[in-house]
Amino acid sequence: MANFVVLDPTVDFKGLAKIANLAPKVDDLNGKVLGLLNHHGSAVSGAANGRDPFFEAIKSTLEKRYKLKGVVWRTKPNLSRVAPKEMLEEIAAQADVVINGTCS
Amino acid sequence: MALASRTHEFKDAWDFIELAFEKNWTDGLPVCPPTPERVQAMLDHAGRKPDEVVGLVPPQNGEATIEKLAIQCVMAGCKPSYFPVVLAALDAMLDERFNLYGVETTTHANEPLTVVSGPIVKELGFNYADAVFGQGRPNATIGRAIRLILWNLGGSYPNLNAKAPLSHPGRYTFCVAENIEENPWPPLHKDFGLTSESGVVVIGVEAPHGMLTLGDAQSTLYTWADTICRMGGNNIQYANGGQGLLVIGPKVAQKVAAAGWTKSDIRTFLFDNARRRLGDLKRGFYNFDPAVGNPGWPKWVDQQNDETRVPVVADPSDLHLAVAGGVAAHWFTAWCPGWGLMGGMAVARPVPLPKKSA
Repeated sequence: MANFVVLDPTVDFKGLAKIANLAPKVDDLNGKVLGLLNHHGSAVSGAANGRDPFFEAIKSTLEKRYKLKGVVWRTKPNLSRVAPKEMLEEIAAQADVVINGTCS
Repeated sequence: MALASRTHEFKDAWDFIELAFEKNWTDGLPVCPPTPERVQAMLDHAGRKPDEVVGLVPPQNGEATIEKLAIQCVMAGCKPSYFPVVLAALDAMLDERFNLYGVETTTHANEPLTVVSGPIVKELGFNYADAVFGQGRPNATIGRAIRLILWNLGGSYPNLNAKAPLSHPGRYTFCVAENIEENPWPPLHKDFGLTSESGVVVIGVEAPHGMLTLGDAQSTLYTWADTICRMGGNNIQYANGGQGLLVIGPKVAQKVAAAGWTKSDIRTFLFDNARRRLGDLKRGFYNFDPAVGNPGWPKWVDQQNDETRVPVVADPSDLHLAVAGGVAAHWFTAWCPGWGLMGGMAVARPVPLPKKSA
């Protein structure tokens, strides 16, 4: 019965995990430096000084739960694009973990 | 070389068309069956190896091989001769400047537009005249192939990762051709320094906003300037790096050109005049905070002074000018607003002339 053949138009999506090397996870945040890489903090999100209120909430929540050694906070110059290499290298060198905000 | 895609069997073409919806191989419009013969014809015309990888298509990073791209073109209804145009447009969209990941996932209603210019427009039979944003087989099916690539290889799905609450109808197909017979200026792709006879320019833009420009050249220019800096546009809110496209009806373009205006003159005029007083913008803006300012504006904009006139873009070269459409009216222009500094920047690629056989 079936004799009309077509080719499959789909592919397996690689996502991000399959094209990037993920760093090993940190077991405990106590004594660690927290990195916050938020997107374009601007008046769009009601942010002050380029900081996003959502990240403010994450920071205060984590500070209550853990004894962080410090917090490094950077704001991407362009909310939709990947952060510049220098910024990524800087925050990776200073922080033990980084929470990356994304907004398109 | 053998084709690598797995095959599916259906009762007939109607069975395929119906099941393609169920399998999520299309976004709401019917698609043509990608039979091995049709796909092979597409590959033969391009003269490219089916396993050649063009790139990863965001947002879900599906691998775009020549074979998978040819399949999308067949499904879209493209002739084999259209395939090089699709490949050129996709290559441009994968350029980092375009930020295709952002264009596809942003909440803003910009979609990737392909503008075709040069002799290829007539060679392939594009509609470059009446209803130029509407009908024409190359226009419709090349734009459609791009969308199917973004759908099936990019995995760009509304209500999952394509987050624009509104978007616009160009999300189905969005390709327009310049009117090469009536354009008084060099074709669009030449503005990007390309030396090829034909080319494509891709840019992330909202749907075209029509405007009535029936006055003389000077009044037409003022109308353009006023329209493109409307308060709600992303361009003026993120002027530092944003771009936009003015699609000028041929007779309007000829009127302005006859008065001595070059494309460069027009860009300069629009940069100088498409501005809004800061005090007025603040009345319409979201929570403008003088302490923070708007980081999207050029550094030289004095954000403490309400009399500052904020430009719609940071540089005249951010305004792109295409000439397309019919000649029945002498007074219509369309403004295609950009996304702002986040992405969708115009990128050009050359297109080879088609082989005569296809």
